[in-house]
This record gives sequence, structure tokens and C-alpha cells, in this order.
Amino acid sequence: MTAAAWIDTPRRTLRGVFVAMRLNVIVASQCRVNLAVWLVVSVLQSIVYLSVWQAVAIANGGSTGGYTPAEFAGYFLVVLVVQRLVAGISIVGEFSGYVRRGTLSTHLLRPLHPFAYVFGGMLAFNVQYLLTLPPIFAALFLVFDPQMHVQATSLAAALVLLPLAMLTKVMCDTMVACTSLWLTRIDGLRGMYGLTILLLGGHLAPLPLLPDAMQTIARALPFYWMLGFPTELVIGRAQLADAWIAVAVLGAWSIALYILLQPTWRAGTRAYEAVGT
Amino acid sequence: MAAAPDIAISADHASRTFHVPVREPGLAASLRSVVRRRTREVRAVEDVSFEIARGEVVGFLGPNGAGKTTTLKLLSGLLHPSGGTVRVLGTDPARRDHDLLRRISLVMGQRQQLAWDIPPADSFDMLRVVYQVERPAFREQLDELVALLGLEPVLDKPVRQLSLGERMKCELAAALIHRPEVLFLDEPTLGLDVQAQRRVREFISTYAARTGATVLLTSHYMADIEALAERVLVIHHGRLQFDGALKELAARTSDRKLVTVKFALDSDAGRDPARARELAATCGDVQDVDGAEVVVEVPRAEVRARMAALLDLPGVLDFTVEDEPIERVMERVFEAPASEDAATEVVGAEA
Amino acid sequence: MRGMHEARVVTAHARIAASTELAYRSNFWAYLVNTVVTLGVSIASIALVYRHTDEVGGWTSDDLLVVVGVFFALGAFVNGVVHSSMAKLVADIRTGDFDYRLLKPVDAQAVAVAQAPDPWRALDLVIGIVVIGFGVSRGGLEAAAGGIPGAIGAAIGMFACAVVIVAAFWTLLASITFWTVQGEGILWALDDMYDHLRWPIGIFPGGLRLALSTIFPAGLAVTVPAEALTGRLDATSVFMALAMATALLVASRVVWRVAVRRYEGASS
Repeated sequence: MTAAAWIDTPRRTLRGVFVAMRLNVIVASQCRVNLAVWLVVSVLQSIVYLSVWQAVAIANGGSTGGYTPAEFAGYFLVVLVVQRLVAGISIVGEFSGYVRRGTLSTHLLRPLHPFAYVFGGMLAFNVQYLLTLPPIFAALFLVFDPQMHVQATSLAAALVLLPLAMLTKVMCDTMVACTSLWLTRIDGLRGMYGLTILLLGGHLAPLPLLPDAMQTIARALPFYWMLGFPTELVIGRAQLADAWIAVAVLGAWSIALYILLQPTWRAGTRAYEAVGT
Repeated sequence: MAAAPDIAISADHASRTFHVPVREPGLAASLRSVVRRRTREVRAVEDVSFEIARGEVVGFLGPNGAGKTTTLKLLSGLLHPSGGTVRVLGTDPARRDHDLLRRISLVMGQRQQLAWDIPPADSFDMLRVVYQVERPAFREQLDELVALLGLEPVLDKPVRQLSLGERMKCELAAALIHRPEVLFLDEPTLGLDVQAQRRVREFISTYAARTGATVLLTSHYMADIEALAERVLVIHHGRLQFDGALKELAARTSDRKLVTVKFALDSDAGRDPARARELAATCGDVQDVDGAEVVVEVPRAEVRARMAALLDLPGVLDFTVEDEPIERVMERVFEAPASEDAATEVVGAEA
Repeated sequence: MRGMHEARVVTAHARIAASTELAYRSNFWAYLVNTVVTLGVSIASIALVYRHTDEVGGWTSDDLLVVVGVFFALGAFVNGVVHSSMAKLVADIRTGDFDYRLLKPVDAQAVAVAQAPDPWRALDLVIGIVVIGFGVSRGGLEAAAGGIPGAIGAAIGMFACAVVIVAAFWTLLASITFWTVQGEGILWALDDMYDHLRWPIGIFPGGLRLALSTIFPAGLAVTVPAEALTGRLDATSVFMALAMATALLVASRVVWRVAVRRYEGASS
């Protein structure tokens, strides 16, 4: 078995992703309960952090780090959506599952790259998730009465930025997932990766609330630009001009990771074959 | 209905219907099914009645999807019947009464109950605790099973390292640790090689004879049934088609006999297979020509007349008359279409 | 009498699972890294919040360390006993091996909750106790009535309630596997959710507090033992904990029964 090139031609890969997506929609649509549980979980998560920060803002006499409780609500409700869109399901977990269970061999034999398959699954889930999100989002909107300053241009910029953010996330995930070809248990690494995204991506708190040193690191890594920054754009807290920085950082990371992935994947599959299952 | 004390297993007009979601192919259909789900009613078992006496070994025949496994699951209490009743040792198995569970066992060829990562010996000990078997009785039973099945060398190996045949033998031992009085076997020889099949078969036969256990077994392999069971139940499209002796099944369902004609090697027919075929064809449908031997199929009613004709053929040395092999009989029975629609479609939202 | 039998079977399962799992020593290091990372997230998020304030809803950062400690100790049960056992249940249902479980003369639910404990997770219990000790020693054990022994006794009682709550709740949701054969997703979702419950529910607004006590009662479970250790435990909390433990136990039992009745096995 030779290691398939990481991506053959963009057109074929894309077609593969769509095939996988169709398959996954068909599988997932049979499991409405699953979808419902995921919805509740993801919503509860964001509400927990929102409530913590609202409590802090109230304890501080009305605002913390420039956010009032209502503005926190705006931030966390939007970050909920952005986070789901960009980082909905981690490829890392799925792919390392393939390696652990030994099903990767089956996937390597298919004329479709394993990552394309996983990625298709992620897209499929997100499509379903988005179909169910609007009513829930509307309900949360009514309950938390968030305050935000939406501007058409910033909103448009955020929407344009999202596909690039998703692409970068996929590249990062794939890189981390590739390590499971060497290490069969990557729970620790996965945890660390998740922690980095949570903390530096803006999911736990808006970036201005972090200590300065962490803010600097966050701006160098792609995670803030794929989660926190688009959120800030939507609620009108980021400069429109900074969107160019986002494009530059995300683009640079994507290209760098793409180049790095080629030899990593080849070496990884070779290592995987050497162990065998 | 109170079963007579010597009846171990009984089914009285037992039926089981499943509601399976209809999965239409395609993306749009799947998305639709998120909102509204179509289900189809499948009658897996319909109006099945039979009784099995204590100590009987009965074979259960039918093609894939005929309802064999469903019936076994009804009898072992894994499924509730949707109509009629089933009784095992005088009680309703679906109540899963612990006293009953201690007296029965089910072995499914394609499932496993032994833990994958540990040696069978540990799993056996686990089952001792589960079934509350006293240590001396456990020791005795296990020793006997180990001896009968030749398990000594594999007892301490993790199950994942065992071959399929070794694993199946361990599965059988696991199912018998508590000396069940009623044993349900679903495809116990599935996937085994011929030799392993024979050993398992011999073991089941010895076990039943020694303990007087009642055994109901399904198998794809006619040889299993022929070796073990005198009585067979035939199920097809969820309905019981036949209940009686294996020999009678052949007689009842087959109106033909097979006659093997042997020509002398120095006769015309003995030298030329084409000639042998030509000659034999005058007495019946030629099934097979193998050198100087020709097999012809003859209607059961005309066997006498045809044999007389056969004897007059030039060069006939010898001939034998046999029933059709049971596989062939079954094949013909099972090829027949269902007497009525086994499945009806019900469209509606799922509960 | 019957309970004894169940206990014996569960113990036998635990022994086998433990000896199997202890053979894979590499897992210990994986868990160690994982636990350290989770501890890192907990402390980082507390540090982040308390950069901006000294108290959240009346809880100091030392009090929150106690909550984090309880989160770890309870997590040892959630991940090390309930999740791993439920994962096995879900897998058995998918493959159909669950048929065998039903045919055994022992309460299938009792065995399903505790059949595959993961001994390495005891690490979380140890770390949890250490963190609780650290938080208590910094903040001072604020005992209400009954002094220090009373507070510890109450904490242990509340922790027992918490274990019942999570075990019953997890079983309740895993029983849904009987209807949808992709139950593993539910288990991961529950884990994910539990990972974010390092806050006392008292700091949340009423609706969310209620949700984390009822819809997802792990919030309540993490909070009540910590309340007992920080002098906050009141009659309402005790009542809620006992009521939820009882209600969930009954509900999980009923749902399990219904689910098993409807279980049709994986098609052969």
C-alpha cells in the first residue's frame, strides 16, 4: 500500500468531500437524539462562560474589560455560532479513532483520502446543526437580550473570513491528527490543543480580558483570528482594517501547514504501515 | 395454557412484528427523514406453534431472514412476542426471571460473550459468579467441558489470540458452565472449517446425551442437522412450514428419487459418456454424468416402472436408488415465493 | 440478598477490567498528561476570572479551588467508571453482544453502570482530593453547624449523592442508545459538557442554575460537596441533592426497563 498523496487534484478531493458529506448526512439524519444532545451541550457550554463573565461584570460594578453584561451576552452568543461553524467537530478525534480502531487501513484502500472523508462528515454535521440553530439562537437572543453594534460591512467581512477560518482550522486539525499515526493515544496532545483553542481563540473570554503576554501569543497563532476576531467583527468591536491582518495570518498558516503536511502525511502513513494492525 | 410437565419449549401462535425505518437512498430523502420518518412493518415470525419435549434435540431450518433467529430470541426471552405466547420450562421467557435464566442458555455463532482481552479461564470464572455456581460443581463441570472440547491448551491465552474454531469451542463451554437444561444454538458452526464443524457437532451430541438437555439448533449446514436432530422445524417467510422427522421432510417435500446407473466399462456406454447419457435419458432427467456413472431423476410414483426400463438398457452393471439430498429439497422449498405478502408498508411519523 | 449478588458480579467485573487495563501501562502516561492538561485549564480559567475580580457570586478563588477539586474527584467516577462502562454498553448494543448480558441471571442495569472501570482514573480522585485540601487550607474550612467533622461528613454524604446523580443520569441518557444506535456521540457530548462544569451553580442566574440542577444535574453534583466544605450548604441544597438523586434513580430504572423492552438486538 503506497501512501496516497495528501491531496490529488483539488477537484477530485472536493468531489470526495461531497460524497463523504452525503454519506454522513444520511447516517446522521437517522439519529435525531444525538443532534439534540449536541445542541443542548454546545449551547450550555457557551452560556456557562457567559454567565461567569456576567457575574464578574456585575461584581465589578457594571463592566469588565470594557464589556457590560449585555455586551458579554452579544459576544458569547455570536462566538457560539462561529465556534460551531469553524470548529464544530474536531477531525482529530475522528481520525485518531480510525487509527486506534484499525479502520484506517480500510480508509487507505478507498479511492478517497481519509481526511476528505472525515472533513465531509464534519461539514455534514454542521449543515444539520445550522438547520436547527436559528430557533435556538432566537430564543437565546430573547432570554439574554444581548447588546451589539452590527455594521453591514463588518458583518460581510466576517462572513467572507469564515471559509478561510474553516480551512485553517482543518489544516491545524489535520496536522494534529497526523501525530496519531505515530502515537496511538493522543489524548494528552488533543487536550492541550483543545485548551489552546479555548483559551487563546476567544472561546473562554474575549481577547482583551487576557493578560498582555497571552494576547501577544494569541495574535501570532491562528486561533484568535478564526474564532474571536470574526466574532468581534460581527458585534462591532474589531477594526474593519484588521480583517486584512486576519486574512494574512490565516493564509500564511494555511499555506505553511499545507506544505508541511505533505511530508508529514507520507512519513506518518509509512510509520503506520510499519506497525500494522 | 399450562404446559405438560414433560414439555420443555412451546410456542402457541407466536408472532413478532418489527417496525423498521425505511431508509430511502439519497440526500434529500435523508433530510426529509429527520422530520418525518417512514416505517415499514415486517412480520418476522407469524403464527408459529410447536412443542418440544424435554431431552429432544430439534433442528431449525430456514434460509437467511426466514425468522429462525427471531424465533430463538423469542424463546430465550430477548424479544417479547407481539402476538401469541411462548413458554420455556413452564414460564414466560420474556419476563427474564432469574430462575429461568439459570436453566437456559443461548449461543449465537456470530456474537461473542467472552471478553476479548482476557483468557477464557477468567471469563468462565466470571460466569461462575454470575450464575452463582458453587465452586465444586463449577470445577467439575469445567473439567468435563475442557476434556470434551480439548480446551486445555487455550484456557490461559487471551481470547483475541484464539482461532475461530477455538473461540467457538470456548463460547460453547461458556454457555454450558451452569449446566443449562435448555440450550438454544444459533448457527454454532458458522464459519468453521469442516473438521472443527464436526468436533462441535460431536460435542453437542455428547452433551445432550449425557445431560438430557433439550437442544434447539439452527444451522446453515445440513450436515449439522442430519447429525444431531431427528426432528426438524422448517420456517420460511416467518411461517412454520414443516414439523416432523427429517426423513419425512424429504419424503413429503420431494416427489422424486435419484437413480445412479453404472455401466460396465467395456460396454458402449461405459466407453463413451455421451452414449451413456443418451441411454439413461430414456428413463428420466439426467442430472449428472461422471464417466460410466449417470444420475437420473425419476418421479417417485414411477420408480418401479422406470427401474424395469433401466435394467433393459445395454451394459447396465448396477444401480442405486436414493432420496434427493436434503440440501436440494430445501433449496427447492425455499425458492418458492411467499404465500402472501410478508411485509406491508405503513407510512407515518415514528412514535 | 439480591443486591449482594449484583455487588459480587460487579466486583468480579471490576477485577477483570482492572487487571486488563493495568496491563497497558502506556495508558497511565496518556491519562497523566490528560489530567495535567485539564487541571491546567481549570486553574487558567480561574486565574483569568479572578484577575478581574476578588469574588464571583460570593465565591473566592480559594473556594473555587475546592469546586475544581470536587470536579476532579467526581470526574474520576464519571470518566473512570460510568463513562467507560456506558461506552462498553453502547458498543455491546451495537454489536448485539448485549443479548448475552440480558440472558444473565443478574440485574443488567446494575452491571452495565459499573462493568468496565478504568483503574488509571483513580489518579483523578487523588488529584481531586489534593486540590480540595489545598483550597480548604488556603481558604480555611468554614464549618457551619457541627464543626470540622460535621463539614467533612456532610461533604462525603453530598459526594455520595453526587455519584448517584451522575451515574443515574448517564444511564438514563445511555438508555437512549436502545432507540438510536449511535449512543457513543451522546456519551462524548456528556463528557464535553461535564468538562465545563467547574463552577458552583450558585453564581449562575436562576434559569441556568435550574437547568444545571435538573436538565444537566452534573452542575448540582459538583456544587453540593463543595458547598459542604465551604460553609455554604443549606437545607435547599441538601433537599435538591437528595431529591435529584432519588428522582434520577427512579427515572433511570423506569427508562431502562422500557428501553430493554423495546430492545430488538442488532440485526443478525
